[in-house]
Formats: sequence, C-alpha cells, structure tokens
Amino acid sequence: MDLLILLTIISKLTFYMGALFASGTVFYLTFFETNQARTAFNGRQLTIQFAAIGLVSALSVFALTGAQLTGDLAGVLDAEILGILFETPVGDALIIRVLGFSLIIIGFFAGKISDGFKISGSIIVLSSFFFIGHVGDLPGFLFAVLLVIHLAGIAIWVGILFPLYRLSSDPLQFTTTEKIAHQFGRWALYFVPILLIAGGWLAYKLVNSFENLFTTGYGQTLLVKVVIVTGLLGLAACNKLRFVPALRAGDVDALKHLKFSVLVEIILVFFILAVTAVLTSVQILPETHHQ
Amino acid sequence: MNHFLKLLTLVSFGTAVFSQALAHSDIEMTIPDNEAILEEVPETITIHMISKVRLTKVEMQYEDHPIVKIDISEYKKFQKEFTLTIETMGAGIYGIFWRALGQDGHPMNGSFTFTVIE
Repeated sequence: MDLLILLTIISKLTFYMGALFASGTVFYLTFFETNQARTAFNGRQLTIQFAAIGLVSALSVFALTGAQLTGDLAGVLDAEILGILFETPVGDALIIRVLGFSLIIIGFFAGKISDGFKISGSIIVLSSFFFIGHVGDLPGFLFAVLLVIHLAGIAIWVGILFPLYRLSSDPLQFTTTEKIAHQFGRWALYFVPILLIAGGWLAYKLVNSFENLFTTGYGQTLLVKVVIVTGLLGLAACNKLRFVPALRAGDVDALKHLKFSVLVEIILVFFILAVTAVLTSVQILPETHHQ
Repeated sequence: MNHFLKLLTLVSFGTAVFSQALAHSDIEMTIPDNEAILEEVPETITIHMISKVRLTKVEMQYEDHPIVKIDISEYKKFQKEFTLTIETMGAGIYGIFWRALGQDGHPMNGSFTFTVIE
C-alpha cells in the first residue's frame, strides 16, 4: 500500500471520527444532557475539538485526493489539479463540510440560536457524505435519505459513548448515569433497527448480489464491518438488558461493567470507521456499477 | 481486563487491514493492447476509458531507463479517448502509467505494458 493511500485512509478515518463524534455529541447535548451531567462532562469542549478535527481532515482528504491525481505529495499544493478537483462533487462536498463544521463551532458562541446552528451544522456535515463516496453512485433521492438516516443513527449512538464513559467513571454520577443510559436505551429501541435496515439496504444495493459479498474485495471488507458491528450490537444488548437494569436496581458494580462495555464500544467504533475508510479508499464497487 | 482489551485491539486491527489495495480498473482498452508484442515502436498510444475522465498524469518507462513524462497538455476536458505521442526508444519493454479524475471526483490510476522486438 503506497504512502498516499495510507495518508488518505488516515485522513478519512479522522474525518469520519470528527463528523460522527461532533454531530453525535451535539445530539447528546441537545436531547440527553442534564444539568447534573454537565458538572461531570464538558461536552462543549469535546464537540468543538471534534468539529475542528473534522474541518482539518476534510481539507486534508481533499488535498490528498489532489496528490493521488499527480502521484506525489507535491500534488496537495498543485493549484491546477486542486482547481480541477474542486469542479467535481468532491469540491461540493468540501464546501458543505466546511460550512457544516463551521456552523457547529459557531453554534457554541451563538447565544439563543445556538441549538439551531449546531443541529443544522450536524445535519449538513452528515448530508455531505452523499456528494462523495460510493453511495453517491447509486441513483435516486431515496438513497440520499437512507444514507442520512443511517449516519444520523450512528451519530446518536457514538455521541452518547464519551459522555457515558465519563459519567460512569464517577460514582457520584450514579443516578445521572442510570437516567441517561436508560433514556438512551429507550431511544435505541427505535433508531437502531432503523439505522440497521437503512445500512443493510444500502449495502445490498452497493454490493449488488449475495455472491459479490464473498467474491469481491469490497464485499469481503464489508463483511468485516458487519462482523464488528455485530459485536457492537452484542455489547449494546448487554448494556440494555443487564447493566442498565442492574443500575436501576442500585447495583454499584454495574457502573464498572457499563464503563468497560462503553470503552470496548468506543474501540469497536474506531475499527468500524477504519474499515469504512479502507472501503471508500482502496476498494472498488463490484463491476456492474461501472457499466 | 487489560489483556482482553489488547487482544480485542489486535484482532480488530488485523481484520481492519487485511484488505489489500486494488488498482482501479476503469480502462476499456488501450492501443497497443496490454502485454502486446510489436515489431516496431508505435509513435502514439491510445487509452479508451469506460467513462469520461480528465487525465492528470501519464508517464512512460522504457526498460530500466528513468521514467519520462508524456505530454497531456492538449487534453483539458473530460473525455473517453486519449491519443498521446511517445518517444520511441527502440526494442524492449515499455510501461505506461496513467492517473485520471472521474467526473464523480474519484481518482483512478492504472498501467499497461507492451514489448517491441527486433
């Protein structure tokens, strides 16, 4: 694997983390955060950091795509090549991403209208994925909607992880952790099946046949992603069915179990995003999509 | 617990990087054909793409000589067919390496070779 591809994969990974964790933490701050939780977890600072990482990564993904067109790192500064690239959907995606991340950051300094800025910035960042990448190759408005639903579901899921990890590390936040984890579990009953159905349908349309799932590099990499997602679902089920009910029953040890489970979830999310970065950087769609 | 996390990290990392990079294969045909054997050196090469692209770089390597750039300055639009003049260097193996931008913004690259015999 050459250096340019490796740098592109790393930039895409940090971009995915920035986009999902920034928008996810915005969703947490808007829908789940309580006054008590605010004393133990500073979601504002973390969101701004992830939005800044996403912004820088979006610019570097764009510049590295330019470098792939010249075959050397000097391409990141090649004005002519970057100008040509800017005229394509990659340029549209860059504008939308810069706008989205900027709105999220500005939202924290926008007073009364801050929630509007942050939420619209998050949705704009998530929508940018349709302009670039393999799902954009699929025809029709339905796939755009499915992709945004899929990504918004993932963002809500990953957005709860850092706050929940921090809260479950503090025994003084026992009641707050229990309340937020329970509320999230109730939401998850609705949005997790929706995000899985949307993701499964998109994957089926991208791979095009059950056979391609096993016989093409794209299909095989997608299978790896599905295996890790299955592990994540297993942990989520443990949280929902064992640790959170134990918390509600007053079991102090359940806080440690929940903390460990959330930490493993964070690690698995990292690897799911890494596999996704590989999928979108080096794997081509099965042949039928090129015709 | 730490051992479990280390094992999980190793297994996840292993599965994440197992996929090998694949070259994009968006080329329909070339003149000469890939791996063609010719009796004289062609003055031009032609690349036919499946869909419209903008060529961004084409290079040629003859035997173990240094790689030389092929002039693509006349092609400033997205199109499917490109005919390029090459420097003739005599009998031996020629490698052509190309890079291009798809209209959807995907970078692509590929290569083909041909051999000229005396």
